[in-house]
Amino acid sequence: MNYLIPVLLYCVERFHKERSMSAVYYLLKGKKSAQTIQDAVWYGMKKLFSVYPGLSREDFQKAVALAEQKKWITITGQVAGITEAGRKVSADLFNRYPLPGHLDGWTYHDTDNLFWQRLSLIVQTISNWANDETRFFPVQRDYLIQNWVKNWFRKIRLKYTKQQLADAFYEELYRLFAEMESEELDPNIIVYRLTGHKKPGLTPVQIANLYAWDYVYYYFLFRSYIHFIIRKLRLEKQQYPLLYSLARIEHPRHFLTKSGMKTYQYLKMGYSIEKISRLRKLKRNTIEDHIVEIAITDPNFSIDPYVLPELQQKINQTAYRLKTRKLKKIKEALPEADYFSIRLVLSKMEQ
Amino acid sequence: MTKGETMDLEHILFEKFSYTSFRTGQKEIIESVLEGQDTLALLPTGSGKSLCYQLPGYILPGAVLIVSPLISLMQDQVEQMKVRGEKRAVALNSFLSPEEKSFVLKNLHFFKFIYISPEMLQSELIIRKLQEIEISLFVIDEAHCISQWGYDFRPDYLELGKIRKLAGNPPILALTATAGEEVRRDIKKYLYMEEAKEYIYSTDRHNIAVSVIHAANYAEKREQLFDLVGRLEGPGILYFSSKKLADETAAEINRRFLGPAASYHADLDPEMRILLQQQFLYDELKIMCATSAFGMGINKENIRYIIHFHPPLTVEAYVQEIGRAGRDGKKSLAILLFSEDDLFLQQQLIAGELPTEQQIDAFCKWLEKNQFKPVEWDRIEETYSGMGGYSEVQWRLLCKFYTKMHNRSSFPQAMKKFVDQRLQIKNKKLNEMISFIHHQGCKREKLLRFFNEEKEQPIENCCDYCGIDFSFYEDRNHAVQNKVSFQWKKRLGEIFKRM
Repeated sequence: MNYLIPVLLYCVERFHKERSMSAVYYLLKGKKSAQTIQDAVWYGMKKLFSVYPGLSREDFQKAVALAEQKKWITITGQVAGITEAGRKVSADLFNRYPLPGHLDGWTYHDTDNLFWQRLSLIVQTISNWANDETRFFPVQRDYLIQNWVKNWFRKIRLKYTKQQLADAFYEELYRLFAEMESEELDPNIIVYRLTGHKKPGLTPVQIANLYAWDYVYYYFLFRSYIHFIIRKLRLEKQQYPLLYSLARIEHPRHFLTKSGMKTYQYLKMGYSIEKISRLRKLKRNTIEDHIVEIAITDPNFSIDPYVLPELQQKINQTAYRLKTRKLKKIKEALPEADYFSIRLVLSKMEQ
Repeated sequence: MTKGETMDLEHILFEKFSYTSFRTGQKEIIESVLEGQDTLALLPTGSGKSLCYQLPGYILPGAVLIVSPLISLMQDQVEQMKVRGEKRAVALNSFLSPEEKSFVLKNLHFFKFIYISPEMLQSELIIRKLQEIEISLFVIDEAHCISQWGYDFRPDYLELGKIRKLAGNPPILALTATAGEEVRRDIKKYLYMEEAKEYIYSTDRHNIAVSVIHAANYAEKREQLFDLVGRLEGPGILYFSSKKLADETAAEINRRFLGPAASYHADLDPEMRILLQQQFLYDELKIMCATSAFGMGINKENIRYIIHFHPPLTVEAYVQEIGRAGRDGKKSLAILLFSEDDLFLQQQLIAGELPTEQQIDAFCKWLEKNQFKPVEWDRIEETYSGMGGYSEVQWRLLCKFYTKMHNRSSFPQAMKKFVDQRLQIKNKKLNEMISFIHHQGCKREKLLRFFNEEKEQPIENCCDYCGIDFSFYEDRNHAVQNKVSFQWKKRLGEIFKRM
């Protein structure tokens, strides 16, 4: 069974008949639009944001068509919903192949690929050195990655001899994988993808076939392992100085728009909405949009100054009770809440 | 050329390429190029065409500009040069990011070997940049693409003669593996090199036995394929016209433990392509199930057989593809599996590459409705994803043709005329292929005659008509596909040479 199906059913279920199939597609692809970002946060699907950037429209449509034909989902107008049969199929598949727990697209989507590309090219280089070979076909052709790795070696070689570097890098990797194993994560998922001297790595399809898994399941598993590794390296940078240096991002990409960032700066200076609005000659509504944007993207941003805790709780309860993220429905059930408050609270809901 | 200079060539050959001697034709062609002659060289696949311009690059004062139609091939070449230590090689094509492109253009004078796609040469900016540097040699790879009679006509190639003049009229080296007389005439005409020296070497590869096996239907063909794959000594390539079939066959071969096999086609991302190429190169894969996207630029010497599950659309493509077998000179086998159903499929493939009359009319209506301004023409091509009912190839062709027309009112007629012509040529080509398949007589002789060549001498294991002893090609070791057992500690240790 194509693992895309249960993933898709999961998303549809979470969107409880309030979003279209395109919303699911953009979520998995990681489209950086205000709408998709809001969907990911309000409907509690941050971990699935941008976990399948390589997904083609065609493959997605095929999976949707199958799910519809089997009556696992219903599509009415612009909205998709899950059926009882769909819930069963999804539960059954996730029972056998759970959604990898360490998947966190929201946090790592701009690091995971880079980290893998750097790691694989560095390992290949060290392996070739170990065999006294300086000429080889790089597994990563991206010119920017190649340059990054070259610079990395230049810097690191000031501190290590080739032999020391090979020893230290191997030791860190070995320790990392051993710890993964002790947490019941299978290091083979990663290790067999690595390329060494005259030892090309396996492709995702090959590994999936050897495990008799669906390709998409392997794809998600691999990605979740990379997320696990990056998180671990960032938490324990002292224990993994070399590997940690690959998991660092020099210029993290921000979800915030430029204008939103500006508003954020004023907020940090303690300015009120009215004052920012006047200073920036922008409507109050626009500044409020920015604040929602900030609430969505910055986990440390507190909405308490804008919404009283009691009201926060009421909005929360209403949204859960009605199982909705539609502003209008919440507002109807809770007339005392204004739209700005509802949006802020939805942006801070537990995932 | 004096004796001293001749010595130099061998010296450079060893220094830069680690070869001790030239292969057939290479030296003559290089000498012609170094004399500043326009040169047209016809060398069979796998005979080291690229050396003919790479080596002169170390003697000529300026840069070598190489036009190549296939981006992946271009990148392979550049990577191969980097691997042997040549850092001054670069590929200019649409795959470069804007950052990379501007970096390369700013530092163009640094590069000795500049590969470029014909589309890129349409850009005025790039022409200007090229005019700022000295170009000592203008190489046209796959030069048959310039001719309507060639099996792979590319309209962009027609501009190359003009570009040569803009680039300061450097000498030309036109290279191809397959070109009949008509095509050679076109090459010389369009590149303004009527006086060119011609070096033509036989397309015949004596060590490759040529065989066509007829099957009653698809199912029979499939079983024949698995039977062959189980018996023949690898490594081998299986060619398919369909990506899906390549995928499925690779999976089935692995299920039957006849592999290891993998599939290779244009849908794979670059990392996967590199891994699969390398696995094949290091004999970790026994069988590659591929579309025509696989093969060029892959320097594997010991390929023992090529099986075509579908007939290629032209004899030229067929000869190119079987030419990937036996580069080490050892006995190798080319098998084409054929059933009459294939004809229908191949006809569909041909039609699918060209827009139909209805599509041309619909395209015109769409243009009318949208009222594009001239500045937007460049962007028409990008609208493809939103348009139903066209294949990507069809859409691009329509857009290209339209944007290049001066008198747009005559577009539909001209487009239809062009399509008719292409269809005629393509069908003619396909008919040649079919006449080869059905030929009652020596298959090698038949193939050679397409290129105005004669079979020189009797050959042992020549073709299915003259007789092939298949037991020569069977796998006597009966190597069984090993099951991989995952042991990460062992694998990691091997990569880091810990044991």
